[in-house]
Amino acid sequence: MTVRTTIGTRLAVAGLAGGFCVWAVCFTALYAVLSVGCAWNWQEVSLGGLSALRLGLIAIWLAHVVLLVWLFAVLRRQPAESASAPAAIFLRRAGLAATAAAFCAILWLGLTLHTTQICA
Amino acid sequence: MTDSRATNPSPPSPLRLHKQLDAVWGTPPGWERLKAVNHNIVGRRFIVTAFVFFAIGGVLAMLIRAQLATPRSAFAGPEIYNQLFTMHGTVMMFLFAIPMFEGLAMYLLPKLLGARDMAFPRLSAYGYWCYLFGGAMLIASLFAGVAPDSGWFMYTPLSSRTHTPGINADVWLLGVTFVEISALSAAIEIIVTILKLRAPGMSLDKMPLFAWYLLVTAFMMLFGFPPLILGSILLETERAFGFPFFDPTRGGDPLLWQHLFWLFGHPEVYIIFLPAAGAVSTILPVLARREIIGYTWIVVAVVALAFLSFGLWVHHMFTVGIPHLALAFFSSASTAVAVPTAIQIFAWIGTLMAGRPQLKVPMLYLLGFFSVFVVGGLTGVMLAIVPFNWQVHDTHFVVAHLHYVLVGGFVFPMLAAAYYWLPHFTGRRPRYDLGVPTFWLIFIGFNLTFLVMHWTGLMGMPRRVYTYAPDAGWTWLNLVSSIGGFMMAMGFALFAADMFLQARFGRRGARNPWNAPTLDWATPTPPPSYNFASLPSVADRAPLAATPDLGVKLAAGNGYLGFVRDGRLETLGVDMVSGRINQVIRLPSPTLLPLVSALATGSFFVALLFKLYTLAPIAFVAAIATLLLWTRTTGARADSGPVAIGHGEAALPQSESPAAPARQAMGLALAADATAYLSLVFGLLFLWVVAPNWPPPELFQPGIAVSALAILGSVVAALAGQQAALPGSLASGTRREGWLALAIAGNGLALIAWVLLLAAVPDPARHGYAASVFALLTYTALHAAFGILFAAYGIRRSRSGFVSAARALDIAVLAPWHSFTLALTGVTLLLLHGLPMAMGS
Amino acid sequence: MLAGALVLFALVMALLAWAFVKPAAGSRIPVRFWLAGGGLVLPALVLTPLILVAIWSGDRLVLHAGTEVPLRIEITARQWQWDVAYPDAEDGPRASVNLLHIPAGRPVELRITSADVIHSFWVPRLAGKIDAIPGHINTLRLEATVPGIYRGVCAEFCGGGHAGMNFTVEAHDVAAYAAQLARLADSADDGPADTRSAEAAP
Repeated sequence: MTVRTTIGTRLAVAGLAGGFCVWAVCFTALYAVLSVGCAWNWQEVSLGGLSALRLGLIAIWLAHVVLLVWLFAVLRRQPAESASAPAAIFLRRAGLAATAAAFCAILWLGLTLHTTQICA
Repeated sequence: MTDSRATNPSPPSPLRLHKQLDAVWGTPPGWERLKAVNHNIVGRRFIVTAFVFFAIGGVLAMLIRAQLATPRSAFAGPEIYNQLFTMHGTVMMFLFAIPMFEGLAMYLLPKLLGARDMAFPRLSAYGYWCYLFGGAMLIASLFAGVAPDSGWFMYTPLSSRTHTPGINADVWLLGVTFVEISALSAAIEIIVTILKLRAPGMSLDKMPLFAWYLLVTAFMMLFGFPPLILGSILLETERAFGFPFFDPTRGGDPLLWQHLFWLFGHPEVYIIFLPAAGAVSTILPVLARREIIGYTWIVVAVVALAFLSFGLWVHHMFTVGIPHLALAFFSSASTAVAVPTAIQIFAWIGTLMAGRPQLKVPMLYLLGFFSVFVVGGLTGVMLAIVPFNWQVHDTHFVVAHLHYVLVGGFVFPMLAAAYYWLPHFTGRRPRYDLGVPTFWLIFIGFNLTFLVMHWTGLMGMPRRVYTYAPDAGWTWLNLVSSIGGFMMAMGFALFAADMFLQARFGRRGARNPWNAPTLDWATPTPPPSYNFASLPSVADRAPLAATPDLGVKLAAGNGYLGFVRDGRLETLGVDMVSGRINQVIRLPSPTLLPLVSALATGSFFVALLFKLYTLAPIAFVAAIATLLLWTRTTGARADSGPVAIGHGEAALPQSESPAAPARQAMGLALAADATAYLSLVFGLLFLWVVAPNWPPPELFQPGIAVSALAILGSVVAALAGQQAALPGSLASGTRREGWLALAIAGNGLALIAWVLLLAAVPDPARHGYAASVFALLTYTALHAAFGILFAAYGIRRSRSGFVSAARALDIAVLAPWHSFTLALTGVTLLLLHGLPMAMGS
Repeated sequence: MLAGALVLFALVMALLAWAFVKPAAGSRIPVRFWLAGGGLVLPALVLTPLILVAIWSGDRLVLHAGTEVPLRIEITARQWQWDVAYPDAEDGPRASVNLLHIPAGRPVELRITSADVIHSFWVPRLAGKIDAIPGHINTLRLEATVPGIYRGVCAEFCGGGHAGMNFTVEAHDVAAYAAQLARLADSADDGPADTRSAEAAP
């Protein structure tokens, strides 16, 4: 493709939308694995006391939490640009806030993983 | 070609400049108006038409309330009643709400952003006609007595051929899909306009909040509509050809429809709410005489809302029997969405508290919005709680909730917007003080109708019942609701009268009666076809506050592009993030082609509706042909390099710019395309895991040789398409046409492979598996076919002199198509080969 | 929930009123108070206990293993009536139409499906609703603590007869239950005994 986006654009998108994209992938993966798992009775398979299905779900969730933390750290490490690029300041703040919000959303999601029955 | 006016120090007088601009931008009156592509005209058409559909939907509501006012009423039997409530919902959701804000966005965005028009004016016009014709199809069915009658969400199997043998359901499926073409094209256009057609200097952080809201909304539409469009196509195919996607006796599943529908349906209500919230964020600070607090917070909240809203859809399906943890997921996600909503509510409250709010008419409606929408939001949180939901789902409690959020969250802000922007549309101030009594009639009427309805639902009255028994205990509740409904109708009638009176007899007043700081009030009112005689440069979020006489200065030609070059319609394009000028965008003159294309598209849908399956492909080809005709007036036959734009600056024309709007539009269209495809993939996987009567009687094993042919063809096409767009190839006519010819050959090979595979699929009408496989193959094959068409188009453009090393647009825009088709090829083959293997194990 | 909603609604309305009655009263309140306080802290404080209670009460609705074995009854919804089958009846399988006999004080497991379109089984005084979907069997566990008559409706739009698709649940003393079932028609015999015609009266 000959369309080239500038670094500024890519970072803007990564900041604003990236965190929630991770949340969305996590949500989709959890719901998909949960649905398939219940349809195929994976919750009955036991792995050291916990059902394999629950362990699998927790693993998927943890992986995305880690990914989000990493994303936040990467964004945070970007050099804060000078005042001559005011859009950059706004985007950095908005991007960090959006990623933090996505982190809260994924934690809220995780609340349910540990507390309820899976299939019945 | 230099333009003397750009270097000439004294621009023509404002009147002369206006006449020059109006000569190219204006649309002549009379029959010529059918050729209108200007956003002022098309935007107003959307708004007026949407209001007409609102009135129709309102009359349907009145008929519903007339029937339900008393128990055992003989007013309307079930056959009629089922059409009444189905059409009420369908008309309000598809023919009123979405087009209303589309129209407002089309009218307002170029002005707020400091541009002369939307990015693709002919696409706007085409979208309008598709909307009008699709809507007419639906309303015509009402008069013909064959309106859709399975509920506005058309659950299968009730809406399948067995239980709805008449064309009622086909009218919905085809009519709504026709209208949704308009919505998707509007979404793409809104995104491109907001990202690229802004005033110089308007970086993302200086963009009006309304633009942020619309940007996010348009992205939601881009990803939210394809599942419905795909689902509708699948259901129509099931009804017409018996492919059992949703029939559980043949390997389909009714729940697949629900998932596809609600994947669209939930984001849909936020798609409806967000533009209205954008209007609130625009109007409220002006009337509070203070800049809004929390600009960044609001942007982040809106983005969060958009994403979170895609994770809620199953809360419409809490009673279908999903796993317990899934109930918890969707319940918790549904409560989470209250947070970004609360951020906006408190930003508004904080702004009011910190400002000096004036209780003018638009503010009255905003207060109506607050009180009604907050109630709706609170009942929404209640509904998110599963045990409670299991009692009130599918009762009038939900009807009450949805009206509180939709009327509160959309209608009231739109009424406020009407009173706020009517002086802009008309250039007049109200002469009669009808806004206040109208408000009270609507507000009191609404609450009378729907407040008690919460109780009606809690008392156990289900939805969609055409009557009820006298001893159910719902009698006086329904009577109160019906009385309230009629009161509300009177209010809306008064509103219509008020709008008419203002427009016709209002006093001509000064521009900017609200003292608003945004660019929309820098145009004359009513605005000329071109908005700004010259384009402003922007340095902060409140341009008019910084320069109160900006409008006069621009009209005098002191901004950019304060001239007409060779009779062209031009506006500026900027970098998405920084707002620095990077191109001059040339826009089309009035033309009949959008109408012609819409008529051709419409005949395709009508042919399908009446089962004229030989006429349909012909109409389809005609539609594609008319759409390709649009390109005759696009593009440049010679390199021009940067052209003067005023202030001694110059910029590349879009035909030579790597940032041309069309490129982004293609990327966005492919995103929507991918969403539809992934919905189909989801469908197949869902049926495999969930649907009864699996495994299928016959598995489909695609041959290795044929698969290899498909891969080979697609790879060749993708690589050739890429190569054709490289600067090295573009410089030479033979080289670029050679690559394109290779792309044709590659797609041709792939197409042959797909056709061979299609011929070998077991009878699709026998099992959902075969039907899904057939659908996947058809989807991919169509892309290969279009790949041939697009590459051939590229060759034609190249031969006609529209392409050069600098003018890459025609080739570069279509190159991604072949790569996308390759991706489709890969996923389709992976599924077709992988699924039998997974099923075997 | 209603109380909480009323409090929140009153709060918002009070703030709005104050903004108009005392203009610029809030101009010295830091912006962050509204955004973080109202937008983050307030929802968190309200939603966290709410979702925890929701999850907890949702868990209680699910019958856990180890309690009394529920009585199984099969229900097939069709346009526009409810066919009830009692496969575990002591004297052999029984059937009834639009009438569900259950023992009071004992959990009952209803296995619900549909023969044609989607319907929804709902007895408001006994349990939440569950959809009857063709090709699927959904399980609803309920228990009538007290003998009596409970009315039920179809809660999913299912065509012309939807409004009249009502049924009745009769909860009998456990002792009388077996006898009651014995009087029902044999499931092989579609006799009119003990059917209730579908009147449009819940």
